[in-house]
Amino acid sequence: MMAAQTEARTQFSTAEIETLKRFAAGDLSAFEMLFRQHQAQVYGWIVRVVRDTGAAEDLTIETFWRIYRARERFDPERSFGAWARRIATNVAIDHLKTVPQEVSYSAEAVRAVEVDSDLQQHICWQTERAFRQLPAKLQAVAKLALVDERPYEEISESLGISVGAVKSRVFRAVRLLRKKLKQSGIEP
Amino acid sequence: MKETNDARFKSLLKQALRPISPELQRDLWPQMLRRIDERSPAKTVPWFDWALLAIVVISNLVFPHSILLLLYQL
Repeated sequence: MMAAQTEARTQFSTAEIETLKRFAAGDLSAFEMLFRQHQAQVYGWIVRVVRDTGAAEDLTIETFWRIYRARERFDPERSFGAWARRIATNVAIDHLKTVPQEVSYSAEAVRAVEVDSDLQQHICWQTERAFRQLPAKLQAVAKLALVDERPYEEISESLGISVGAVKSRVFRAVRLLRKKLKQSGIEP
Repeated sequence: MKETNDARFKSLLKQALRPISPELQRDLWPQMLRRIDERSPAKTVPWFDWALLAIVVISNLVFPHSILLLLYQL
């Protein structure tokens, strides 16, 4: 823990720490600087979890709004990026909880050009449906680990859980997905 | 065999989930500024300041001599 903090201290330049201190003290221009520096990364992370560009923009704003409100609790000697990513993950998971679990077949038709046959289209639809029925936390981890193939360490840091816990969530998500697909007559 | 299965499963998931671009297309700072303006608490005068002012005004009306005292304090 101490080693990580010392490493973080050496990673940041004095100017960066100064900006972080000004942000923690409520300086709007320092917040703007941090926003512009990190907005693309936060957006990229959120869009990987929610897979909806419009929602991801709104959720990026929501993430930075939470960051802005919690600025007094931020320790300027720690990584702003890691803190932002953790908040972004929570915001994205909260969003997934509100998304309807059912996916309409007609919406899926938009993607018909990408798949070869009706059967394959049906399989895709059933898979997405099964995915949406997973608990939000499992969905998020499964999307990041299986679809985007992000490193487990990165996922664990963004969720504030251990790598072992990430692996366990991936395992549970895969088991549930296979079970749901099997119930729909698909044997992946 | 298991690895082949896992690879097939991953490719099925990738095909099923909408491909997305993780690139941000525009600057979101103007929206952020709007959010800060909308949600920040308005700069209002606290209720006890109004109460204090009311007490001073009433005491000056009831006891006009207190105006001199007030001016002396100022």
